[in-house]
Amino acid sequence: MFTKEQISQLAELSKIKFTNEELKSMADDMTDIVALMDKIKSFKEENIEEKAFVCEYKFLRKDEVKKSLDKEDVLKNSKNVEKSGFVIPKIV
Amino acid sequence: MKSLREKLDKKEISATELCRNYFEKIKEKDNKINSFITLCEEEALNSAKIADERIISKNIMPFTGIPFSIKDNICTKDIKTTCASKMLSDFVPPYNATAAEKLLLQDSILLGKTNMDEFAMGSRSQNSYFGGVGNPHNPEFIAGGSSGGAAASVAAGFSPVALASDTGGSICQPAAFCGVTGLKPTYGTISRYGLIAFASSLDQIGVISTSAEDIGYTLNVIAGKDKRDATSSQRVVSDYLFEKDKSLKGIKIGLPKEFFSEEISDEIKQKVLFAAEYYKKSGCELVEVSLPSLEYAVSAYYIISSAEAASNLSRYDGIRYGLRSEFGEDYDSLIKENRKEGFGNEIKRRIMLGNYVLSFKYYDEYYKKALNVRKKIKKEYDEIFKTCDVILTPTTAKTACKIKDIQKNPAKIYADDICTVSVNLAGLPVISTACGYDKNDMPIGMSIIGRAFCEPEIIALAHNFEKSFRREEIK
Repeated sequence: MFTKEQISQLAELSKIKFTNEELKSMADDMTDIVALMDKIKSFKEENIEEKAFVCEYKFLRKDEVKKSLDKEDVLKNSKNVEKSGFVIPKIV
Repeated sequence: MKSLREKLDKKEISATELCRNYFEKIKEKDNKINSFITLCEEEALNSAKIADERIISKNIMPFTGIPFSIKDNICTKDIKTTCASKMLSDFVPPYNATAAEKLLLQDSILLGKTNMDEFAMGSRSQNSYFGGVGNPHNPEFIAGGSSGGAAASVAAGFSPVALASDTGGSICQPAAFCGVTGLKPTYGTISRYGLIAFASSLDQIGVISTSAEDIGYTLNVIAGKDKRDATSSQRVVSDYLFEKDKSLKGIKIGLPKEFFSEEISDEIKQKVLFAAEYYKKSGCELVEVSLPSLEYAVSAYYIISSAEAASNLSRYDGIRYGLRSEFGEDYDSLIKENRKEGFGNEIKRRIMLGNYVLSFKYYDEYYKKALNVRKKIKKEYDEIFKTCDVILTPTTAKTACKIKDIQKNPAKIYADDICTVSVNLAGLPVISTACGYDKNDMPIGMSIIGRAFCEPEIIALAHNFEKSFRREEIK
């Protein structure tokens, strides 16, 4: 069973705001799901020779600057833009 | 697709007329199904005009003038791409996904963006900010997910073919529920550039259509290496249809006993085994095999996919794109408010779970173990393929349920994915095709799993079965 502290810590890591009621409901859901995930604990094998990631990925491109998106395209989906920058609340 | 191509080339119908016919049907009937989030009528008619000019001047490519739909997590330049989420409800990509671009460069006709579970997380297409999707066979029933809109659009005759995505069964399961054909290719076959990421080591773009042949036709256009996706494969399949009409004699079909357990409904087992008998009478050899680690597959899948989702969805901060809340007095709380308002409950659950299994205290216990299960499952599939050419299984444990009867407990919904997730973990190709109907006349699907990069073989087997299996028409 998830404690309030655990759930709050996970909410902080996830960067999502929850009300207390939502945290409680989330705790209940996650308890059920983790019970399903707990099946994995009975799997004992280690040092299996296969690769975990199935893809053949081994080609890297040269470290060269190439054309990317136009600045206008990059900015157009933001809700708050000023002088070619994204506006955010003051940090410092 | 072949018959559409012939009609267009012989000018029995123009691309413009074809396009208008599809939109008329969509507007008349999609209100009951809700398979589309965005319709692209103006763009489609412009493309149709260009396609008609190409056809007249005989500058024809396989997809010139052919309409298609595309799941709304695949980027389309200047056309809203929402992932069925409030977070991206007004997001307009500045580029096309490679798979979409390959079709559009041939002057195909994009009809619209199909509905889905938010960020591809779900198996009912009911987790959508734009409302759930109904099954064209009976709109009271689910279409499946997360590519429910794509499957429904094809089943309802709104589109001859749809591009969709599959992370843990999101093409095959809705294809099965809607009585159409869906293929998830080998990991790396189709570029993921422009596919909005859910779980990057599992996601693949695939195709849903009314036949295996049409899927092969589409793969011939969209598959292939892409410099913009480092995980896309160098391997070349020159023609996905080259084995289409080959004899089935001597093909060994594995039937893993774990896929025919008590968890699978009797109706489904019966229909799939009936299909197995069809293959046997056609000259195939049936081999009983085993995938012992299947019992861990759902657990491993949800651990790995949630972990990757937690990472992938951390980009949605509402600053550069996406929903921006009017609340949030500082940077940190602004991001939290944006994500609170922008994401649905299922997304929040998966992100929280992902962060849980990746956290220092639980990483070894869950995530590292899940990676070991993944390796073991791959190894067991490789063992089976030493004695078999393909594997036949049910696509789903149960048939489509009524929307009002959807299970409330998310863990119980996840458990239903037992027939599909292991294939994604192993990165193998799989095609699902209809093989029967249940007592409610809802479709049943069977899956044919192949060796890596052996899509032609599984397409051939599905095609052979489809030639003799009569699908029920949707009224």
